[in-house]
Amino acid sequence: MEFFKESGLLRVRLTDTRLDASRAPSCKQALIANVTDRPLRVLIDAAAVEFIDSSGLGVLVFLLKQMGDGGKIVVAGARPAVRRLFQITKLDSVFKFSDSLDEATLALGA
Amino acid sequence: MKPPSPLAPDHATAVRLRLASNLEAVALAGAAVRDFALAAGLETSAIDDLELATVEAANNIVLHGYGGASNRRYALAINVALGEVRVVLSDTGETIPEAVLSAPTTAEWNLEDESGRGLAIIRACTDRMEYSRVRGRNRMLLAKRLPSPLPCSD
Repeated sequence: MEFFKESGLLRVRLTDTRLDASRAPSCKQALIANVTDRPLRVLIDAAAVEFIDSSGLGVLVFLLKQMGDGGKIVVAGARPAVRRLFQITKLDSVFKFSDSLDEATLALGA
Repeated sequence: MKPPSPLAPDHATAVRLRLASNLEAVALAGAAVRDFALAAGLETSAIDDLELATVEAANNIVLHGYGGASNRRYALAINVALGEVRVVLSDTGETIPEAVLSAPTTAEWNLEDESGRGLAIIRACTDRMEYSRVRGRNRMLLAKRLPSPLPCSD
């Protein structure tokens, strides 16, 4: 997991191909260490992720809860299997999706 | 004659694995189901669903059934029967409580919960899910229907 802060936008790049229960605790620790200022705009670059389970999803929900009130979060480049989990769990009502980083950046007004 | 239960031991099982109860090994269970389902002819989205359901079920065994103990084992069996790809996970850990099995539905979720979605995801990702405890073993069946063959066009 990598973090970039650029002009009011926090970009979180998911670097592993799996975001699952075996990786969730270390990912959550990385968020605790790196997301400290309640960002209002977050872009999750999920292009590398091939598989996500409910524990991985829990990590992203934790990130959502670290954001400031009225914040906006966009997931870019998610594969169908990743999007599917958000649909099943109805979290696609909170997380927005974009096909590319450029589109996501635009959607976040950055 | 009474038909055999899909949860009973099946001599026609095509794949049977014994897995260590650690989260790193859960990916192997998912990969085995993915490869088998692909060979059996499931469509891509159904394969994704069955892999996810298997991983959620295996996570439950490791984290809740065995309470995180990594020195236990559970079994994974995969076969095709009656037009379904069937995955059976069996373990000797704690049984899933009835109250947990029966709730919550997806409509009742708090979107801010970071956990507790596994069983509902399993249900959403399978055409049929059954759970029982037989002779000291918990058995969870996950079934996904194969697509119907296309009719001949001549």
